[in-house]
This record gives sequence, C-alpha cells and structure tokens, in this order.
Amino acid sequence: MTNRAWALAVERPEDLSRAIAAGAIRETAAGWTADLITGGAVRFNRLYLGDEFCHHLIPTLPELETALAGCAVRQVPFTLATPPVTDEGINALRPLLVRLADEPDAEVVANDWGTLRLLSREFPKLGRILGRTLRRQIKDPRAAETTAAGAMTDGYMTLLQRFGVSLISADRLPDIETALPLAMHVPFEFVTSGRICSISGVPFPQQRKFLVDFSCPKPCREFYLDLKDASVKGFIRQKGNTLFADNGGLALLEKAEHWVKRWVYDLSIDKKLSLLAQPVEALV
Amino acid sequence: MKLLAPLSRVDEVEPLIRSGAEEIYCGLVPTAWVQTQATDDWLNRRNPNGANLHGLSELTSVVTQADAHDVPVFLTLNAHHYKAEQMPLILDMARRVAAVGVEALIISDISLILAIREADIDIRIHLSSLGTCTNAESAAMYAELGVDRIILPRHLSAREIGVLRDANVPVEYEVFLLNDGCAYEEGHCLTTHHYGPICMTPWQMDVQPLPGAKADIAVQWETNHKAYQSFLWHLNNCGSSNNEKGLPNGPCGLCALSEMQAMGVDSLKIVGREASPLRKLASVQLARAVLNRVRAGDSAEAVADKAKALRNTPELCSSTYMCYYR
Repeated sequence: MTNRAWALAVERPEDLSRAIAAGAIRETAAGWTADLITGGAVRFNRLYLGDEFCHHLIPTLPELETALAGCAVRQVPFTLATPPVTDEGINALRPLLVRLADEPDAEVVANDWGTLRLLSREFPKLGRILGRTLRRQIKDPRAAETTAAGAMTDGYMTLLQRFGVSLISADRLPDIETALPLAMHVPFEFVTSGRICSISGVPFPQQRKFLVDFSCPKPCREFYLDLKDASVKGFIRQKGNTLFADNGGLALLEKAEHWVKRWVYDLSIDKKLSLLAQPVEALV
Repeated sequence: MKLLAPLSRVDEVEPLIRSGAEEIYCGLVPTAWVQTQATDDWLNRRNPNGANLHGLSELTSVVTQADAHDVPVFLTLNAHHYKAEQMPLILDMARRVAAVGVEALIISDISLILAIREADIDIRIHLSSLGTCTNAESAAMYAELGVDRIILPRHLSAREIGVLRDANVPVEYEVFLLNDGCAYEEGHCLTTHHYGPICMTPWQMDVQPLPGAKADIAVQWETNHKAYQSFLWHLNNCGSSNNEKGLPNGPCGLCALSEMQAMGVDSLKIVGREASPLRKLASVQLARAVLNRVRAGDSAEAVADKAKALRNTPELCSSTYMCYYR
C-alpha cells in the first residue's frame, strides 16, 4: 500500500457499486482499495461524487445521501465535484450544499467563480478546491510541448484566499510553482468542454438536438467515444460534453510527487478501469 | 441596446459607422510582442497579422475618427490567459491605449483584470465571453473586481440571459448577435486555433458502449453524428457562404432582438475582426436594419419576420442550427 493520498472520483454511487461488483475495487470496513496496473495497492481515503463539466450531471439529493452513508460507515471524508453552472445550476447545488454544510471535513470542487462566491458567503465551513476549468493552461493534444499556465499573480492568490481555496485541481504537470498544493487527476486531462453536447443529441429529433437549455436524458451514461486522428498521439476520449486526453496516468506519479497533495482517480471517465490491475474489461 | 462592430483596419471606421455601428472593438499587437513571444502565443486570440491594427498610431487614428461620431472603441486583450512574464508588457500597453482614448479593454484572464485594477489604470473593463460568466453569483464577483460589462458566452439561452439580467447585478451585458459559432465553450477550451479548430477534426470514432447501453447505440450515434456535422457546418458560417445579396450566412440572433431589448441587454456583438471589410459592413447593415425595426416599436414577430426576409435563406433559418438563441 503506497503512502500517497488517493481519492476516488465517481459521477454517481452506481459507478462505484459496479466497480466493486466487478472486483476492480475492494470494499472494506476501512474504505476502498484497488490494485494499480503497475503494481501496488492503493487505499482511497476520500470519495468524490459528481461531475466537473456538465450541469446535467449534478447529483441528486438521494445520490448524495447514498454516497455520504458509504463514507460515514468507512469514516472516509467526502468531496462534491461541481460543474460550471447557470443560475438554475446554482439552485440545483444549493440543497446539496445545505446537506453537506455540517459534514466533517467535507469539500466542494468548484468549476465556477459563482459557486466559489456562494460557498464563501453561505457555506464557509465547507472546504473549497479550485476546479480544473478555472485553472488555465493550454493543453492542446496536437501541440508538441506544454504551454505555460496562467500567471498566479498576487491579486489572483488574494482572490483564492478570499474564497478560502486550499487546493488546486490539476491534470497536467504544472510548469510554474503553484502557491497551493495540487489535487492531480489521472488518467485523463480535460482538453475542451462546453454546454453543447453532441452525445446529448442522440435521443432527440433533428431540431431538438444540440440545445443548451433543455432536460437531458443523459445518453452519455450509455457510451463513450474514443476519437483518433493523425494530429494527436493515442486517442481522445469524449465523455458527454467533454474531450479528455491521456495524461500519462501512473507515469505521472513519480514525476509530480512534490507538487501533489492528493491523487484523484477519475473512475467516472475511466469506467473500463484502464488504471486498475483487475479486471480491466470486466465492466464492458 | 447598442450595436457593436469588429474592426481590423483604419479605413473601416467611417464605413462601419455609416452602416450603423454604435460601438467598435479591435485588436492591436505591438511589435514588442511579436519579437518576444512564441508564434503560437497570440495576444488576443487572433493571428497578429490577420485581424489586428499595426501600431499605436493606427489605434489613435481609429479612436479619433470614432470619437468624432461619439462612438467608443474597445480593445481586445482577451487571450485565455497570460503568463507572469507577459504581464508587464500588457500593463504597459493598457496604460498607452487608455491614454489615447480607448474606452474599454476586453479581458478574459482574471489575473489581468486584477492587475489592471491594482495598477489603477483608468479604463473600463469588459469581461470577455471567455470569462464564462453564466450566473448572477459569478457576475457579482466580476462586478466586485471592477468589471463594467460582461460579454455573455454564446451558449446561454435567451431565457437564461433573462434570469441573469433579472438579478440586477450592477454591470452591463453584451450578447452575441451575428457570425462565428463555437462548438465548445471558449473559456473552457484549452486548445488553440493555431492548429485549427479541434472541433473540425475529422475524427475516426469508436463507440465504447457502457453497461446498460442500448444494443443499437452505435447505429444511433452514427445517425446523430450526421446531424452534428450539419450543426458544425452551420456554426462554421454555413461553410463561409453568403446569401444572394452578399449577406453572410451563419450564427445569428436577429430573431431574438426584441427579447434582448425587453430584457435590458446593453450591447449586441457582431463577431469577425478577421473578416473582410465587405463581410463586416454587410453584417452591420443587416443587424442595423433589424434593430431599427425593434427601435421603431415593431412586434417581436414582425422583427423576426423582417430578419428572415432580409436573410432570404428559409432552408437555413428553418433548420434552427444557425440560431444563437434556439
């Protein structure tokens, strides 16, 4: 078992149940564990629930309760992952935040400055993590080299301090020193995202496809797209409204050790469990 | 509700204003930037050679000409983000353009917004659509940081804009009106057009079914994908085409103008600094003709009818894929 701090990120409790049923993740009284493909077991000592990119995937209150119950039994702390939001998204988050407000050691990953402002004003006890969409760095999979990330000026750091941010989400090695520690996601980095989702169009007739203001039946829970082109190495994974590229996965572990306070395994993007030793294709 | 037009050449000022532009935005890339930065590191999301003014003297000429018509000029400093070592050059540029009378800077990077306010540079700040402000909490935060106007992202519905406007955050709101769609959210797209738009990549697609997927999900995707390719074509200015009168086809919010007026939207953005002068003028004239009907008090239905009649592309309009506000 490694000494690294690991969190397990799932979009909904069902994803975790399936991984456990498949034997890829073990459930014990003390938490969840798994074996990595490179060898070595990990214990996940935090659970993330939710999606960082799509407001249609904000968990329901019953889903939150299920996740919290699982965490309480195992004394594993909890993190709610939240996406960019409209005013209606803020309204959807509010009851979840109310429920979380007094949970010990609970955190929220915010991918919207509005969510951060709301948290600092109304839910000051909740821990706050800067989401990946708010930390800017060009990560074009067609580019040969990493482009520098946005400046973390004194003013920017003061703003993060004002909002009580204690951790920055990342999915690529930073090229500059960050004043705050990182929560590094594996095995994918997000490349692009948006409210218009090609996959969401599947169940709809022509004129109702690709809208922004609609009720989504979530066909993204039925399939991913793996995209290939000569302009990119490997493949791009499209999960719903977002494209992800392989970020090196476990190879990052050694390279990024000194930057990283927490590793986050995105099970919800990697439902086929490419990072875990057994059983790789069990869920297909 | 003002009509905001793009500009990339000094000789476009007078024709744009005569065509109906009431605000102008443009870009400028100083020689010092070109000499010191990587070729794929664009100052303002447009190629330095294609869509930008050259030198402060050109910008001064634009501002002077526009000022004679009481038309304000805004300057884009709207890169996704800037590096720490670029900040001094950009702050120096901000001071210089403020001194020649540019009324506002269009900025996306929150660090630059903070730096400009900290440096006490006397200039308005318009939050770029890349700032991805989609709710009143976020708008309030930007207002607290000293932002005067928020350019809303393309991907908000008219109804959602109304909800945001009703929150009465003390900022102006600008919305997209014509041209140049985006498949993804600009502020959440970490790619660069230096390599071409990633959304137009001809991907080889492999459907990966998950537990519970319908048996024919790959077939359903294939059908949907054809529709999505059509959608992208409409976003991409209908293959960069024009109608028979030379008016540009492409993303359009003209039918929603009455609704925008009723909501109290402050400015209507025409996209396309890099476009030809003819395309810019045609876009402004088209938008102004419809806006004039709103100002004359025509009904929303009559305004929409006017827009569709001017376009005269019923097959494109009826698809709805060209509409900013579907």
